[in-house]
Amino acid sequence: MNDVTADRVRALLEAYGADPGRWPEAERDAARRVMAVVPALAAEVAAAAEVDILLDTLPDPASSPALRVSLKDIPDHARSGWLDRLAALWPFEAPWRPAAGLVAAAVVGILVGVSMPEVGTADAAETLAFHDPVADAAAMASGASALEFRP
Amino acid sequence: MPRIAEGDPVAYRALVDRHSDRLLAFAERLVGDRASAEDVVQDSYLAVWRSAARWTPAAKVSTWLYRIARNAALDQLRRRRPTVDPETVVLVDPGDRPDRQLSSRQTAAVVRGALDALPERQRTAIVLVHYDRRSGAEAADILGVSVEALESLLARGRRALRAALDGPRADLIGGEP
Repeated sequence: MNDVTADRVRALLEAYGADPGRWPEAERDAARRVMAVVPALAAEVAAAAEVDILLDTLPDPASSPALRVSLKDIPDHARSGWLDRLAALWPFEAPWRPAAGLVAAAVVGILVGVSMPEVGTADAAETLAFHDPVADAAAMASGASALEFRP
Repeated sequence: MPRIAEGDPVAYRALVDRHSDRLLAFAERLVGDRASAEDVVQDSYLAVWRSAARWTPAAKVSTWLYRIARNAALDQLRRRRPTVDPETVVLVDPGDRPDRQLSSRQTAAVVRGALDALPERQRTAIVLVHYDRRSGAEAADILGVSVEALESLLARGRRALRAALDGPRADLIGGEP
């Protein structure tokens, strides 16, 4: 990119600071060339460098091996829902496969059950029709007994 | 990420090895203390493990991870400072301090305070670009803004820092504030 102006270099300094390593790569070389031929930018460079130096007084946060261990334990302790719980029971492959198999078997079972002829229903009705009078009679008999023995 | 979404702990642990240290540093600079930063990173990786299926190849994994961490950091800051709107924080000028000769440790503490006092988006932009050395494009992506908007956030943040750090700047660099 060759259309980097002195104003654009000022904007880069204000936004990204004095280290060209932080500037957008596409503008970096052109901006350096502009800086080399515009001495008036030196004051902006110095001002940006001062802020960089102050920011660099903050120490780098140390890493935490204990945190890393804890993060790596997350899959062992934090189950992500029913699929993950299934994974605990099925460690051989992705758990959705056996889950899909179970669901497919259930669907086939329901479809077969629904499409079966209703043979058993008629028998059951006949059975009820046959047994109901007996039950009624027994009830009547026991009722009569009860009446007989009522004081 | 697809392997993590399928529940592969080996792929997940590789992601921890690759990014956790830098993510911890990012979080610590955003929230300002170690314990909260560790909570942020813990919450972030837990969210990754539980929600990896939501990742789309349109976003770099690191960008997605940093977005999650930033949101977790914002949650931390809201819980900690429920009455402060981060967009309306006014910087305190430490230039009136009586003890102008600051040690580098004191200077770092003042810088830390000035950074903490910045509006959250300005602080995040500076942390991503200055400390984490993310490119402008990637930092803009993490913040969900254009590169032009990111540069505006950076410039305003750095101007505010320069104004707030007028005293320490003179002590550290040797000039008159």
